[in-house]
Amino acid sequence: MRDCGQDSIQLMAYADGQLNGEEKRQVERHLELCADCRGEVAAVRALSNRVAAARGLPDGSQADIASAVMRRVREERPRGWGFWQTLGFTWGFRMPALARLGTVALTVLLVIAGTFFFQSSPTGDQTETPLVLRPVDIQVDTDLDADFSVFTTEQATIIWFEEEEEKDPSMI
Amino acid sequence: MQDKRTDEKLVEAAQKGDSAAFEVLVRRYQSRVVSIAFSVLRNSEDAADVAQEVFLRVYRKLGGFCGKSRFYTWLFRITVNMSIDRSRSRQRKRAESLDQEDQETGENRFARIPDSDLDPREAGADSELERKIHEAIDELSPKHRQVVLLRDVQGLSYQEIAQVVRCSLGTVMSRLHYAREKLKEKVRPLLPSEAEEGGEEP
Repeated sequence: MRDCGQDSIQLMAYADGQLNGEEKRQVERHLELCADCRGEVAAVRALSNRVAAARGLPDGSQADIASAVMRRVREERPRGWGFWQTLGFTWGFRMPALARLGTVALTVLLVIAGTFFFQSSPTGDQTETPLVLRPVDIQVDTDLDADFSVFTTEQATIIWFEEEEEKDPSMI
Repeated sequence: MQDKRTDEKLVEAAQKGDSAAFEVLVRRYQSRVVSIAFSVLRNSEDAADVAQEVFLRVYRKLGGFCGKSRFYTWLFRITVNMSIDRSRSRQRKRAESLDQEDQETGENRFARIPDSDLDPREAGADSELERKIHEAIDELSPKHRQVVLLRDVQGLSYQEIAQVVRCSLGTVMSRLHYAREKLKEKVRPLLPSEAEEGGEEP
């Protein structure tokens, strides 16, 4: 919140051209009266332009990589076409969401079962270690291009299936 | 002639093994992918290299793409992640070589690791301001850096950024706000007065 009472995140969204309708008009009415916020809007845009200029691709850069990519794709193709394709994608159908969920659930069950199997002591001379997730133990797979995340701890591997967030149509 | 098929149709065809359809997707998005990679890496060669790896990964994972999100948001997500990974490994390599030198000389220069792999154009930043901007962006955490670059360099809307980085719109806005405050702290003293630059209404 700014000194004048204007919400600073809303002001930034206005400067970025991300507001519509009544919200936009409301900020515009405020800007007519508040020189400070007009300055802030100008500053956000100036900074944004500077970042764009500094980090944009230089003029005349060669971005044609398609031929090289396709050469590598053709080299790779006969070696096999991935795990999902072997499950049926080459025949042109997609795995239904339920089946995907089922696959992940099955994997989680197998992992848990495996954990118990390896932790159980047939002689009974070892005390059972409870599964405690401490932040230091947890390694999160940062590869976000999968629909699920993998958390690896000292004791178990947890696969977290992530659904795409519902889009709120009232949002921008 | 430009192929008018939608991304969804091309993805579907590529999933059935039509590599020509995949090539259309590559040609359609190669500039954006190289540009995103460049904005993170500031090196044209690395950017082109990462872009190739991105498309290969996309090709390999295409079968697992269920169309829940738009193809380009998925593609951009992979691009941002792979570019940040590359930038980290480049820094790590640099740190290791510094470490080796330090062991020989008994010095410690870990306080700030300069990125020595930049193109001459970028490395010889043409002004103090540009150098400061690069420095400030590089010091942001990856999650803050990516929203700034996707917004300011790629011009994506907040909604598109939310889909690319897979978080809520509110999170995008607060990350962007935080990142810009950090950038402002660093570069504001060097910016011309706000009145001189007064922007146009959107």
